[in-house]
Amino acid sequence: MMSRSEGPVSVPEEAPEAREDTRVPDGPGTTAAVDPESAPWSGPARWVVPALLAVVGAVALWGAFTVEAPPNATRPGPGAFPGAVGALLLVVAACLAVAGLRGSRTGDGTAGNTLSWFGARPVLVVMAGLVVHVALLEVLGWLLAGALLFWVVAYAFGARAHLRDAVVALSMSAAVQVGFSLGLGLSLPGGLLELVL
Amino acid sequence: MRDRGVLIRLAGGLCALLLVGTALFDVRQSAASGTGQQEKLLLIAPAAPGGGWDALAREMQNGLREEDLRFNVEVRNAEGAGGTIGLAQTVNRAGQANVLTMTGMGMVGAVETTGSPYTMADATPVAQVASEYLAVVVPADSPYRTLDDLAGDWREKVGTLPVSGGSMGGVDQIFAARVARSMDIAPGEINYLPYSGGGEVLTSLLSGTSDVGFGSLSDFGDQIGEDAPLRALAVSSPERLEGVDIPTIVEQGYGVEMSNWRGVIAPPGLTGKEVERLEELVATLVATDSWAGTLERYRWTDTHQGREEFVGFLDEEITMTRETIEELGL
Amino acid sequence: MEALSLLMDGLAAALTPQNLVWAFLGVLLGTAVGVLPGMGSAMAVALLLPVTFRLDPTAALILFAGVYYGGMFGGATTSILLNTPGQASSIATTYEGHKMALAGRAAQALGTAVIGSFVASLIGTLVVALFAPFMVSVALNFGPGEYFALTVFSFVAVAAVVSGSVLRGLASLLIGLAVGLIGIDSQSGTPRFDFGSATMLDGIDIVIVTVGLLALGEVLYVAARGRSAPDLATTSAGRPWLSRGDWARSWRPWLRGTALGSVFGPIPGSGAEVPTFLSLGLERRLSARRERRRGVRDEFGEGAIEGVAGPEAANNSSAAGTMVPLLGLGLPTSATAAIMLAAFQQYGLQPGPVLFERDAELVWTLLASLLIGSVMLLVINLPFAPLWAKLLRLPKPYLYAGITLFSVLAVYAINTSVVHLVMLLAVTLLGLMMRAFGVPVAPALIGVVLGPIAETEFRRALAASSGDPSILVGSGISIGLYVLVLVAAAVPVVTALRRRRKARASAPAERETSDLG
Repeated sequence: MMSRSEGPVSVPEEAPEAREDTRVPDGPGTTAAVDPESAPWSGPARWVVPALLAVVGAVALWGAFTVEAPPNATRPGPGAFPGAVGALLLVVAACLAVAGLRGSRTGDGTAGNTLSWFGARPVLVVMAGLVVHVALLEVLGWLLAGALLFWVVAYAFGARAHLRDAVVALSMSAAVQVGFSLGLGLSLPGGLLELVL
Repeated sequence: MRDRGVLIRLAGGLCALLLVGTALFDVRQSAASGTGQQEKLLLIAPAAPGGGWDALAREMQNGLREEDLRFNVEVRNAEGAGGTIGLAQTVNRAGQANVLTMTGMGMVGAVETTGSPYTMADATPVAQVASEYLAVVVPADSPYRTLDDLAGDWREKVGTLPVSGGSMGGVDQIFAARVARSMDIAPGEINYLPYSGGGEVLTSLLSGTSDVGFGSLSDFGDQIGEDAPLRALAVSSPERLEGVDIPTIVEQGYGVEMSNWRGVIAPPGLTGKEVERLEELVATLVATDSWAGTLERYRWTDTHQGREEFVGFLDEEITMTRETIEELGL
Repeated sequence: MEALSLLMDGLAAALTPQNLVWAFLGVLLGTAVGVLPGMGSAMAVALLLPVTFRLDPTAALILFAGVYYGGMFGGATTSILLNTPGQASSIATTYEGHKMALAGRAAQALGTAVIGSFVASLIGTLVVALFAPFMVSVALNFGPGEYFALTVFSFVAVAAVVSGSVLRGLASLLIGLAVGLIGIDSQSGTPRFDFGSATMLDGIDIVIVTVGLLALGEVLYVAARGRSAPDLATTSAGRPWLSRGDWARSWRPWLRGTALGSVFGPIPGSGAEVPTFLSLGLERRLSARRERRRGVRDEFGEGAIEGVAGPEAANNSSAAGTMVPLLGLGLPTSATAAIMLAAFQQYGLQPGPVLFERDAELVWTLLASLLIGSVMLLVINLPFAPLWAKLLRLPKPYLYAGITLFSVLAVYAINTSVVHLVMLLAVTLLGLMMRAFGVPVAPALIGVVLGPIAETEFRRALAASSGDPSILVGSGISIGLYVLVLVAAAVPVVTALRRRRKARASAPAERETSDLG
């Protein structure tokens, strides 16, 4: 017998239409258990996606009108598809905005996705780790930069045995270097270590 | 119980140490410059694996090793923007005397069409290595038998007759443009369908999507001949190729002679002596037996040119390409 | 049945202990390389090419076949375990495969993938051996108009993977299409949306998109959810092998996937991803129908084994299918095939319509090698499936740190370029936003993969016909495909209407808006 997983990610789902009565997943918490994929937006969060789509759509339209096609390019030219995609993006953005408005008026915000479950701190730590890794990769070399990235992400996910984490991080990064650089001939940057060794 | 914990920890630590040690060895190995045959050489292929420049780089790597010229040769792919990404990487390695970047007709064209901040003049030309000639082909059931047949029809329906070849601004399109111009057809007006490779051009012709194909002779290879699905109208070599029964373009009275040549360039800022060493290395390689095998396998023609000759050749090619691209309106 | 006896001769020639070692090495290497996104089988074959000069042709062909199939399967492993498809053709596997892993059924997902791959390679190779010349002639009927019809058909077929809100799915698809627009326009050579960066001229590599949206996006999303995210280490591992029920549910999708892959694989240009999407869409539809007709629960969306078995089989049989244009026309339809073509030529094997007569011995040896490669794939990877699945039991911090490390490595490996890593960061943020706001990422990936193909073929068709739109419906193939599109689009609408009417009758509808938002 297979145990069906509990938890919000794999809420059994019916066909899309059956979703109309937005069921609140029967998880332990209230806001924390909201499944973002089906929950309607509420609060200021409801404007973010329409706004994002509108911006992308505007950029696509702008590109469609400013693209310089060679004088005798065959029609439809390079601007046609960006134009269509841009226009559709704007339409969908408008529909989502309207849906958001109507959703709030009918008071559907009870189980809405207000982003209250969003833990910003670990996300910022992981992002910082990635940014530092990208910035320092060619300076420090893969071995050190990779180990640092591993350590930082593990930290963000709650690892606190710092010494053991560091040893694991270095080993992982070294294993990649051995496997892909020594084994398969992929070139990874040596960085500082090249100068020291 | 406690002993076991310590043991596991110890074993883990040892493994980690071993891994890190091996990794450090690898870093050192790839950083080492070495001397003589162990001297490190980096070959930059400005294309993805599977492309022509990648094949050239890997063949050179193989040849250098096989002939005991260099052992520590690394091939690095730097694909993108028609090869200009690889060119940029080369220019950024100014002063490094152990780098060779594959180049060719396609890169010259891409510099013009992609608005690359670097041009061929920013790098140090080393040598031309090999060439492939280009061919004008039609499906076997096509009414065209000579270039004259084609010219007559093409002049009448310039904008509609679909012709196919490689990507926009690439060697094939430049070839098509030059053939068109030699027939008094404005290159900017031809209905050119770009495909991503010679193989796709072939299907395009066989499925009847396009009527005439422009591309490297080797792309069409065995498909040309008596009972084969394609017929070659002309080949772009100066004289008839040995063992290939296809008339040249010049022979049919049209003034086009060109090749999809391949060569190598080095980063800028090298001393005369350093360039000489690279030039010599290439010259030694192309004179070997294993290189002869490579040429045969890929059906490349040996058009090796030393630095001096290559610089002059490159200048002509750049001027010619620039003109054609302007006419194409790219 | 002359072909079969020739194939047997080829097998006899290829089956030596030494060649088996090569097959073993090939599959091992292919799987290892395929596991790393971005280093597909093309890279592995390119690295191997110089080595094979010293081998005899049979050994080299066996090695290549092993790498090719191994690479195809390696991509599935990461799709299922880490939600990171190694190549475009494993994207379809991630949807149900990773859900299965989350439900503690990773071993079963891997098992059905590897057995499905085996079945498909076996049948696919046999089909190639028996029908190659016929398949070549069919494939040649595919002009741009037919291609475009095929992509439209794929779009509609995969609409099935969009669950939840229709509008959000559409939004995601459009974002994917917009990302696909970046780079030089292949039809006119004009740069679009490059924002002045030379690296952007080639568009955003599919590896960056999949790694950013799926793998790293998921890492950040799990980090954001903190304790409310499911802990993979605590999901039950379950039995490591396929149960009888799993077999019963898998074998039909394997065969259907194989059929789709064999039909669409040989068509030059369509690649392996189209059949995988078609197979996923088909299985999803059939599953929904089983629920309606016979009350069998539709598990799609929570890890249905059919959604792994079908696409994986399609993937491998279309890999065998690419051999058709390669051998019959000398036409490589993938980067891997292009390098293999160079390898063939070095053995004097000159692909083309007369190949089967002229170089019969080598051809049959090659096909036999493919068979051996697929057997070896099964032998090597089946015992490992439960082992791989154990990866998920690593402590959460290390698991996600490892995923991050490999994601970054994969993107860096594309071109050893830091610029790509910067793009990855941007795509990752987009992925996080989409997840946080409940916009599904699956349709975006489909848009990125299929969008450029659709645009190119559409414009190419009109260019070839000098602007006459009738070329789009100019053949039986394209008309047939459009009819299928209409049927596929009409069925869900009709059932939805019927269901809605039923729902209206039982409860007064007042919340139809939540379907939109």
